[in-house]
Amino acid sequence: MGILELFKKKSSGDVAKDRLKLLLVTDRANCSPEIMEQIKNDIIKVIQKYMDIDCEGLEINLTQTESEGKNGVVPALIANIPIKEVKHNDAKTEEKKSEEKKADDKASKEKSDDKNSKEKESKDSKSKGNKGK
Amino acid sequence: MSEVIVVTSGKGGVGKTTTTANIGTGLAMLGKKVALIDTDIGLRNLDVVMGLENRIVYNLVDVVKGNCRTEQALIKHKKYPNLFLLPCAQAGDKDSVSPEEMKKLTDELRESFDYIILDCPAGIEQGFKNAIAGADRALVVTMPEISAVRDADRIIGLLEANDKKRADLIVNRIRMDMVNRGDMLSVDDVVEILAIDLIGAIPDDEDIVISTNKGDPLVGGESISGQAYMNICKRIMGEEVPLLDLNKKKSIFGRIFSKKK
Repeated sequence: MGILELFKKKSSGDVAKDRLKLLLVTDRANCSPEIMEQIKNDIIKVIQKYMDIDCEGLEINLTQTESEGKNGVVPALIANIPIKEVKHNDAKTEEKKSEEKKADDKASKEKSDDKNSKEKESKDSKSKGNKGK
Repeated sequence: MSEVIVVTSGKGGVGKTTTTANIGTGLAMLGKKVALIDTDIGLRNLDVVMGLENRIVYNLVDVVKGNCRTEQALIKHKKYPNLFLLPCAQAGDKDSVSPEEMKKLTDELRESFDYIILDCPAGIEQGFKNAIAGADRALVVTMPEISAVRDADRIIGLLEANDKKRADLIVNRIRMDMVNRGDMLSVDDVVEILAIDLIGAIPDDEDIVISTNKGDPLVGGESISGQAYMNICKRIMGEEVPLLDLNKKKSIFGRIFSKKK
């Protein structure tokens, strides 16, 4: 035990202090998961203008980091954003077009669905009417 | 002239009630007229720590609801005639009193007492809001333990948000043997992390358990924690008292003995 303790770099008190400092950064920032989610979504929106990113793999966290200018640690927002592809302007417009197409397709599908259901209804009422007779 | 002080911590079991009892008794010993209010409705304990549990007739809820006059509910301490306790109800919940009602009560007590000290329940809900409503200043009690310090930080934030301009820190239950070998946060560590003024540090002392067993606060006695509590009382009254050296807990013989172990 004694020899082992000599090789230990940090005492448990120091570990507690470091953990606490980090913990209080996030606590004090009062960043609720909802706010973090909003920040994340906004970051995605901005970066997607220029790059194709992996939205699922995107991670943002509030941590502490050693400041470069001053001595000591400062709170930091760290984002890990995996890039799938750097977009070109052409690619951007093409994607817009394809999105519009998709939207059109959806709309037309919905319309036809409406027709189908209306037809069904009318059929039902007819059959009911027949029974009555 | 009179001051309303709330003793709070966020986390339970760090020594709010013990601190309230000792500081209240200490201020009374120093000649001040003191009212202690237990605000932990449903879990009253200040009465037993003070040794007054057999003398309760009316309680905080009775006073607030107008079932009795305030003076009728205040229990006068036999040993210290200028020390009074307003116990809380053992039945009912925290919602039976509102922050406005608490403020009205503390303002009423200001007229006849020098210090009104409120023992706050653990947590940050209704009970906490009630307890801080009428307070001028707060004593935040914590322990050199990660969870207690975290909760204290939260409480300090909430006190600031509620315009309690003055909050002082009490670091309770320090074990100097553990601090010295690096296995416990030191008082300095806790003060550095929480960044508020320290008003006192209390060692983890067997004598506290013994005094609670007897229902007789140890403030002002020979024990190191008794001295530490008395120093806090003096600091509350504005006196400048140097911090005790908690390492001097044991006599020389005691230290030699513990080293042999």
